[in-house]
Amino acid sequence: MTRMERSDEQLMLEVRSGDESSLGTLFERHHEGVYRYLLRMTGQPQISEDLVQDAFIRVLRYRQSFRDDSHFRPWLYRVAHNVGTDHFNRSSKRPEYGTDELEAVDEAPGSQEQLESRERVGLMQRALAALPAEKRELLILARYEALPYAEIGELLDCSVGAVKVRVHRATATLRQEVERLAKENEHD
Amino acid sequence: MTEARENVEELLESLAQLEELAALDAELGDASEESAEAGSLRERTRFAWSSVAAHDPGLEVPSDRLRRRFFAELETRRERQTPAPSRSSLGLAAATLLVGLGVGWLLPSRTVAPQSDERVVRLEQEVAQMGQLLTLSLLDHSSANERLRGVALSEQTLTSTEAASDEVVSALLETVRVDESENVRLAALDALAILLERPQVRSGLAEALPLQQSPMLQVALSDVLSDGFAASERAAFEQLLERPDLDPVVRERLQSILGGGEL
Repeated sequence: MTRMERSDEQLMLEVRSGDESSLGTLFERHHEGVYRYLLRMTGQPQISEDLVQDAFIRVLRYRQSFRDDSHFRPWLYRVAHNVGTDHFNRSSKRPEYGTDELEAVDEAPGSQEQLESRERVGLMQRALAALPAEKRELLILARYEALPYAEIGELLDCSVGAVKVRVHRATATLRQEVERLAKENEHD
Repeated sequence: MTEARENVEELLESLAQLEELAALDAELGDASEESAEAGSLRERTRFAWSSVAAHDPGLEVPSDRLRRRFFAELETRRERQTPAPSRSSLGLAAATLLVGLGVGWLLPSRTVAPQSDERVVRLEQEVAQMGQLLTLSLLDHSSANERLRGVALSEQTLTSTEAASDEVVSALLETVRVDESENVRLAALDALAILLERPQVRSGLAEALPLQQSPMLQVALSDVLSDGFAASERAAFEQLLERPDLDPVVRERLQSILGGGEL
C-alpha cells in the first residue's frame, strides 16, 4: 500500500513510531483545512499560516499522545485549537476581520452579483468575529469545515447531543448578530 | 426594498433555516438522521449554507510559503535528528555510571597513581555523558517545569563538555523555536546566548526569530543577534518587520538595530 493510500490514522501511527516523513502526507491532506479553521478564528492570513506551522510541529512534539484508537482529524483540530487558544492568550486580541481583508473586499471591482456576495461575506465575517470564541469555533467546525458532530464531540470532549445543542445556540446567536449589524449599517 | 436590504434578508432567511435545522437536530438527537422532516430541511439548508458561507476564495488558500516553510522545517529536523535518549539508554548510562563508580571504589588499593588519573578522567566523562542524557531527556519532557530544569542543567553541560554538547545545542535551539512555554523559550535563549560564536547557534536563532509570536521573545532574540549580525540575520529581521501585526515596540527595536547595524 502506498503512503497516499494509507489512512490518516495509519500515517499518524507511523509518525508516532518515528517516521516523520509520513507527516508530510498528513500535512498535504489537512493543512488547508486547518488553515481555514485558524483563519476564521484569527481573521489574519499571515498569523494563521504561522499557527498552522506551529500546529504541525506540535503534532510531532506530542505524537506520543496519539493513541492506537485515536481518530486523527479531531486530534489534529484539538492541537490546532490549543495553538489558537495560546495565540489568543498571548495577544489578547479578537479576530480582526474588520480591517484589511474587509477593506479589500469592499474595494474590489466586480459585477453586481459579486458585490452582493462581498456584502454578505463582510457581514458574516463581522458577525462571526463578534461571537464568543466557543460559538465561533463551533460554527467554523460544524458548518464551514463540515466536521461530523461525532468528531466535534471528540475534539471538544463532549457528547454528540451537547454538540448539537451548542451548534443550535451558536447559529441563533450568529443570526441575531447579523441582524444587529445589518440594522447598524442601515442607520449609518 | 433596496437591493442591499434584500441581500441581508436572504442571508437572514438562510440563517433562520440553519437555526431551525440545528434545533431539530438537537431535539431529535440520534433520531434526527432518520427523520424525514430533518432530511428535507437538511436538503433545503444545503444551499442555504453555501449561500451564507460565500466567500472570497483568495482568502481561503494558504500561500505556497507555508508549504515551503513546513517541508524545510521537516527536512531540517530530519538532518538534525539524532537518536533520542530513550529511557533504556538513560538507564544504561546510569548503570554504566554505577559500574564506573564501583570499579573506582574497588581499585585504588590495587593500582598505581597514573591509572588512578585515567579512572578519574573516565569517570568525569561518564558523569558528563550522564548529565547530557539527562538534559536531553528533561528538554523533551511534557512538563514546562521539567524542561526549565533541563535548560538549567544544559548550562552546566555546555560549559563542561564542549565537544560533546552539539546534541544539547540542537535541543536548545529546537526549544527556542517551538517550545509552547514562553518562559522555557526565554531560558533556552539565555543558555544559548553565551555560544553565539558557534555558527550553528547564530543561524539556528536567526531561523527561530520569524517563528516567534511573542513580542518579548522577538525583542530578546533580536537583541541577542544584534551584535555583529550577518546577512542571514538581517533577512530574519526584515522578514519579521514585514509582519503587519508586529508590536510597535518590536518594530522600533528592529529598525534601530537595522539602522545602526553593521554587515
